Amino acid sequence: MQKKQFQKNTVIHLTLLLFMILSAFLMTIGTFIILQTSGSMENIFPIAKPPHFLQMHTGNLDKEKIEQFAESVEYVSQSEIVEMVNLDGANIWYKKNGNDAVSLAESMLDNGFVKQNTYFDYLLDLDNNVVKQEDGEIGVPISYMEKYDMAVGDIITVTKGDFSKTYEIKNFIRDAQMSSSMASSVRFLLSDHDFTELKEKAGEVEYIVEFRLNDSGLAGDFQKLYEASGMPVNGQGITYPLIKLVNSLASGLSAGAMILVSIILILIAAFNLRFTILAVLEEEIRQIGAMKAIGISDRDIYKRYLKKYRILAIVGCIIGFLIGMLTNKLFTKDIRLMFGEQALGLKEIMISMMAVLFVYWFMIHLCKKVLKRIRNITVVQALVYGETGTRRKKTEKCSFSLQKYCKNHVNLYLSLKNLVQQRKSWLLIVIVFFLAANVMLVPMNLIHTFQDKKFANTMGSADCDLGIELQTKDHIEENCEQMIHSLENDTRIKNYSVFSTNKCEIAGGDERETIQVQLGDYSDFPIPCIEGNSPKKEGEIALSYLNQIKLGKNVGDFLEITVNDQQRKYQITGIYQDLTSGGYTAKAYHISKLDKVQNYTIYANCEKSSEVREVAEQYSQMFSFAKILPMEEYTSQTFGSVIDTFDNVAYIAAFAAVFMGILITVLFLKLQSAKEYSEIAALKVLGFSVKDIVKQYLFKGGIASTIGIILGILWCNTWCEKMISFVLSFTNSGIAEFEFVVQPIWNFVICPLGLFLAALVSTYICIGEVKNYNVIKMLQE
Amino acid sequence: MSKILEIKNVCKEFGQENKTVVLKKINMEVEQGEYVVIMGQSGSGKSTLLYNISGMDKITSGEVIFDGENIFAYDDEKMSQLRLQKMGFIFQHSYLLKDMSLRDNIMLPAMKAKKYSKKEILEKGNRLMERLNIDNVAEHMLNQVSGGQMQRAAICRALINEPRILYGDEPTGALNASATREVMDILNTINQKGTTIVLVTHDAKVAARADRIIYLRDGEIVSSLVLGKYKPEHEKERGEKSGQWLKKQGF
Repeated sequence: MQKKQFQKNTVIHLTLLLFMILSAFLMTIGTFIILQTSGSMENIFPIAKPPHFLQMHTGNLDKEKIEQFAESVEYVSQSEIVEMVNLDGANIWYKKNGNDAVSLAESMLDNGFVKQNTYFDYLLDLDNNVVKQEDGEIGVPISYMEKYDMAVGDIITVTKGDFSKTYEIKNFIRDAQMSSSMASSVRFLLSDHDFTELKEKAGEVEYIVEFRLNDSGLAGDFQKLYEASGMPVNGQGITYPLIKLVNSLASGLSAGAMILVSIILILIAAFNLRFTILAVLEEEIRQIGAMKAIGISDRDIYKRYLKKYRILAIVGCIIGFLIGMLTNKLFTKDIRLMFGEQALGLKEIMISMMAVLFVYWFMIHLCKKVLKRIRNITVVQALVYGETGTRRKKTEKCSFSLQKYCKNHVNLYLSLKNLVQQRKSWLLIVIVFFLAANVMLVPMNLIHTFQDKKFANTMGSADCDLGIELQTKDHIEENCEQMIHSLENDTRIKNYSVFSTNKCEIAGGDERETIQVQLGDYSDFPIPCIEGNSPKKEGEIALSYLNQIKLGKNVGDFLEITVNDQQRKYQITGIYQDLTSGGYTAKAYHISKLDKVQNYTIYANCEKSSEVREVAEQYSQMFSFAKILPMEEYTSQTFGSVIDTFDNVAYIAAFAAVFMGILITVLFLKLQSAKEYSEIAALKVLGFSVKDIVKQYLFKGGIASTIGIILGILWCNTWCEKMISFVLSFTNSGIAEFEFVVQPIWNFVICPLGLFLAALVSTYICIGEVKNYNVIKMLQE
Repeated sequence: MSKILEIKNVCKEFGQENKTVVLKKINMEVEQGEYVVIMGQSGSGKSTLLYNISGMDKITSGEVIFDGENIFAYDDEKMSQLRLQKMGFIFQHSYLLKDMSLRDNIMLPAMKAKKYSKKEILEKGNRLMERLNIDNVAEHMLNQVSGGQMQRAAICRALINEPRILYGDEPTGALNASATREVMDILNTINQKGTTIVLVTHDAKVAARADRIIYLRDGEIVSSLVLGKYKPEHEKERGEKSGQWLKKQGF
């Protein structure tokens, strides 16, 4: 009996099964990604022992003072001062056997060279062993191995001025502290001797002051204590939770996307199920009536129908789960590479099974809810009127009458009338195309947003062609003068402004607190603010969104900070979004020169936009102490890993959206045309041709899908942004207002056209079968 | 009188391997304005014959000439136009479109045919509904009218484009005695105005209203009876004559 049932509507049942398989599969993979990430991190962290708090520092450092401080805090278990030699990618050359050497200049990552640590924060090889290099050997970060297809035995050459040294790649380095594809720095591992040599020959040292605590939960308190104790703070301070967050962000995004798509698929499958069950009940109503009439109980009839969907759900979930089990390694490849292999044990399998069971439970719960209608159908209703009891009492008056509304286009009239009358059924197509538009647009919009210069502008960077950062601390003033001189005399440069960054103390608080402030003239490069305006004159300051929350200040309030050893009162003129420096920054208007500067940033515009890249390349070669980037490149590199993560997802999602649209349209029309079988026959008898019937379904499919697509596009460009902003506001990421940078051709042409054509083509193919319908058989059914 | 329908050697088989022959080389002609009734026992092939000569089903072999043209040489579009413009159909069930009023159902084929303006269609529809006595329920939905009213609406719908021929498959099969009588009267009136009628029925009383009765047995025409044009005052004699003839045929 069940076999017969499945054979009767093979396409419909196969489509339902496919959705259940996909839902279960994605749920399995999403769970595996989360389990793999957390499991691998649990594996690697006890071996690598990342610090619970670290403070980057450039400049002089009093090691004894730090050690004394560490000893004075009772919950500090270990401390270590790591020396790191930073080199620009242009100074690092990679040579594969038989090929020419290439520099790593195009990489935006900060390259640090270190020796193995003594107590903790170890660098590991791919087998999670703490490695120690011999002289002439080097350990290269995994991200470079991936990017440049490096292999053990290849050659890395480091050059700086007259110094040049060649190392052989001995292993690839897994770095618990900087392992994520979203981290901005990487560490190369040298032998102790090679490191000392490089330190002497190749430039300045940056320090990482690291601490392990008895309780990692105290990291936040410790950071405050550290900063308040006058310890070296010339750089970024990072706590353990942030290390963990950065590590799990990329994989978390992938897992989140998988689970989100799975939930969307579950919802679509649920809509399909509901529609299918209702259509089947309507189709088999007389059979149900007959069963009731001969004394079969409601419960038995209900069970008979539920059994079919239970079989579908069980088969779908098992197949989806098995495919997920077999293919999960493909999806967790990057995670396993970054954090190490984590064999999936019974616990992991059980958890992912629970996730799939949730899919099963949801489907069956829905089936039961819909099938409960069987109880309300009376024998008379079923046998005499052929009613399922699902339809409301028919209206007394004819709505949308032919006499009133039909002009000349009878097919269009009949289509509209059917759409209005059967709006509950056609809602499925509207919802599916609404979701398909979202599945297609959201990832693509995210990519376009991250790729766009405007996004960087709204995230704390100025609207300029070139961003120049002077990072080398030695001779920073001279370097800055040299740079300004060149910019001043370069006819290709339209304008530029110099900004200095310093840590400034805030006055008036209970505790001694510092704030990173960028000082300069913002007239030519104003900061895009989400509230208020960019500072325009002396005594004005703008705060980052996170600082506004932290300090509890609003536009118009005053803030007293110490600049040039003088306490100054600034009025807050605006609030801006920032992702840099952990999101805690401020920008103050200040023209006069400062005594001490931590860092210089120069924003410049070129006369011709076509010259930006050329200028950047030339300046990069001229000034090795500066990082010079065209802003377009800056955004693509800063958000490179996010873009990479979403790039494939976006295209797969676009394809999946079209596929989903086609699949559901076919499924829907199969059921809908079966329901309208006798009406189609009646129309054919009256003289409507196959062409007319096809036209009517094309109108209906076209209109319903268009409504869905338009609503989807509207949602994506309005409320979806607001929803993302709302979610981001909880992540403490520094983003308060999120706005998609929309590519009009993709948003308003490719996406709607693609989906619309998918709807029309699938409708045409599916309903084209009408020509094979036998009018007499149809009338007799 | 000219021939409107010529059926030449029409055969109909069902099934691929185990073929069932339902119609065996049927030959018949229908004159313009004639009222022909096809009768026979259940399973004799009378409905199949009607569906095949009206082009609703495809014959296995032979020819069906309507108005001088073989309708099985037509493509779907041309066949649809033929149904729309020149043919009318009525069945045991009305097959009216739900969610539409009786008036909308009646107007629909005319709106599709575009032979007349909307105003003319409305007037024609009103006249038909008045004639068939359903003008008082014109705006009613299907669940608000009786079976007889629905069947009358189906007749109006079949007539709205002024077809040359009206096919009927047991149009009174689901009606009570008084509704059957009403439909019979209507059909005679239509016929008197020139519309050709070909009807399949089980009802001897309905058959007695026709000009000619054809009797089918096992897919073959075995006999026919010419009754001539119907006049109400001769109803009793016609009934007796056709009754005796049908009895002779084993009906």
